Amino acid sequence: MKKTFFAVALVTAAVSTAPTVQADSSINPWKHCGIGAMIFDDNGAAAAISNIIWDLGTTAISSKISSEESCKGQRVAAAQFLQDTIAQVEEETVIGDGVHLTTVLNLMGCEAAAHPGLIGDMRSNLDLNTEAKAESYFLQLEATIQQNYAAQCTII
Amino acid sequence: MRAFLHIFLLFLAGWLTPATGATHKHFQQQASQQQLYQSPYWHALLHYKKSRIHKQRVKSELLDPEFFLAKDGAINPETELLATIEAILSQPGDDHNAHASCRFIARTHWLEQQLPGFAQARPATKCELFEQWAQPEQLDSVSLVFASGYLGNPASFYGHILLKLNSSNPSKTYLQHQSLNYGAAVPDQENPVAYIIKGLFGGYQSTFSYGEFYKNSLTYGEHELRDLWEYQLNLTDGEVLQLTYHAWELIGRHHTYYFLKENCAFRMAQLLELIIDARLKPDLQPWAMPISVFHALSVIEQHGQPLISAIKLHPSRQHRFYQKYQQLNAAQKQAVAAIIQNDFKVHSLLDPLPSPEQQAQVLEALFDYVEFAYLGEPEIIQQKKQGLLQTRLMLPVLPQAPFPQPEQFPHQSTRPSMWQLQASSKSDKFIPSMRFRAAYYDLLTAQTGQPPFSGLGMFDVTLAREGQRFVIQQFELLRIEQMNLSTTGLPADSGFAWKVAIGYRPLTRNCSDCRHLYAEGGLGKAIRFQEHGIVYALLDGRLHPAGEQLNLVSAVGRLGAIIDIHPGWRSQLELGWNTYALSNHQSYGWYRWHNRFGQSPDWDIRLSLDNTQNATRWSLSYSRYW
Repeated sequence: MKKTFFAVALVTAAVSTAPTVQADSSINPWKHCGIGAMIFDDNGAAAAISNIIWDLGTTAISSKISSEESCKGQRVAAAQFLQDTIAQVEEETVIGDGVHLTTVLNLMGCEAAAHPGLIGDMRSNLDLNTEAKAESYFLQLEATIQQNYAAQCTII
Repeated sequence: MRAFLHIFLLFLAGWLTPATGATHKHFQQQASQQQLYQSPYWHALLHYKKSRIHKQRVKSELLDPEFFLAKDGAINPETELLATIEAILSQPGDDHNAHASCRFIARTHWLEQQLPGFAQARPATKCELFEQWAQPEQLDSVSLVFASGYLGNPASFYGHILLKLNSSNPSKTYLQHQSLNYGAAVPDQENPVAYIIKGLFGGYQSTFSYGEFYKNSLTYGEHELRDLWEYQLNLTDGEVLQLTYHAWELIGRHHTYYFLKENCAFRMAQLLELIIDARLKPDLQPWAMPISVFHALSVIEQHGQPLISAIKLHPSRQHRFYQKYQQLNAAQKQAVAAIIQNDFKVHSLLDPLPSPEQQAQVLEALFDYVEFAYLGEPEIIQQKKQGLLQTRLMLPVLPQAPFPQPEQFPHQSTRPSMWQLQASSKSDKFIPSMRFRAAYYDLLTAQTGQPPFSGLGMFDVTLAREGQRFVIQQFELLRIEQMNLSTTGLPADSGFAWKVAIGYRPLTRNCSDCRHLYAEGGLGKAIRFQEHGIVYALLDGRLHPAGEQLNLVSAVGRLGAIIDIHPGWRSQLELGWNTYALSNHQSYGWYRWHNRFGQSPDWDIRLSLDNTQNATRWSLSYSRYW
């Protein structure tokens, strides 16, 4: 019983965004946290679920590479969101507005007043030709924030 | 007096020191005296179901041994209650999340309300995992979300239900809100026959899972092109918490899944019934429909207010495309068509448009078109969108118009199950008949939230009087009709109209003793005319047992039109020709004119004329829906 509970607990911890966890900007969520690799915790259930979103570990920890804590924070949640919705975020960045774009900026802890400027800067440097779109977008967003918006974005 | 003093001292002990064996015995005794184990709320929290044979016996519908704290907790509400009290009063270990008060928050909260002093007697725990998941201090409201029907998967024909926990945090968009989903765990590459049989007869387990709402938005809105209708509920803060506590207890727990009844609609309704004093799920009826939950919610008052406080549509990618396209002027629509024809290479095709606004609107409509047209082919989407994105990036940021919220909502559609009384005249004879359809709608039904001009019928039986008795005139196990209309006329926005049906009925129109089992499939094309009508042509092939005059296969060619003359009057005219190849049976033509009057969710009146081989039959029917 306890074992199962802890399995659920670990997964829950992995998926939840924990505001208290400090961002470790040296971690690349794609290389160190298994994002994009779809590492699933084994919860004993069938892998494919009909009519259901089985949210057990798209942000699961690749513990051999990185520590659990460094892959739990909001920064990694933002990376995961980008991985899942890059088509929408890219499109909305090009347009300059949209709920997915707002969400990713929220996840990066950027206050609303900074959004228009940040979006403008992202549009100026957006690389539409890259293969690894989500990772490239994330790294560009982080660089833009660090350069011009560090004071308005709390998780950097 | 001595007993009172004893209880007082135990209370004092509870206040001042961590719980002891004596304390839990005291509260267990108190719970037993109050017969809390018989409380309907306790039974609801443990998902106990009464035995059909032994009315005094119960068994929980949950399959996980971890959900119970007593060895026989799945079948014994009393021992489970006593074990729960003991576990909650026990000292937590290093990880409070593993303590009963964190795993079973709804039970703990309820016991605190039922047993005076219990809240103070139990050791304090910090349930970090729950708090990270629910963020209860930010919980604002709860919404029930209806995902419209999806004909790509039999389990989704009837729509789907999700629960959404809305946050008051202004730094979160609705995509970041938590949501709860319920569904069956089906292995990859499951055989379709096994899928149907296991789904119907309990061959799968199902579970509650959670995730941020964006994942639902992606799955249903972007990948399956289904609209999500969010019904926000008017609940008190306490009720929102109560619901969230129990939702937490259910995550990852398993039930046996039955496609017809114990499905997402049933389980979500069951969850809501914890806090709503009304029946939302069917009791004796052997099926449960997602839309029925919304019909039920729409008439419930909670604390003197309508239970539904707001309804919001999250449109699918396809719906957004249609909306954007309809806003374009003629020159913009020409540009859209030209760019599609030019394989999405923009070049100078936007030049005739006078402003960046108009150019941007064309490109943004094309983004949606590409995503919808090449669904499931991400590499092609990326390749086709590349030039469009680059061109749009060179235009300025422009204000975006919000998606207009609709005036009609799914719960205003006709309810899904039907009784019908019919009176027909045929050859100067009056024929009464009764019809029952378990679900869901036909081409004449007034409905919102389903594909337009489509039909989905299941278990549809008509009994007609013949002589002194009623006989089964016709029975359809399943009928699906999908007109697959094009809204824009663009290449990817169209498909074949199709139909499938399985049933038992007369194989010619004028015979009464020639009923056979049959399977039918049809293919054709439907197009819109004006705003509220369609015309269609279909060729149906029918497989049925061969007889003296019949061969194994027959065919029906049909030409028809359906028009909404008024929201309360839909009319269908259909002409057809039946042929019985390689048999002695003569081919014949027929026509029919069917009308539905009324647009209430609860009833309609239908007037029909059917003519076959010069025999005319008039029918008037009254349908009652629930």
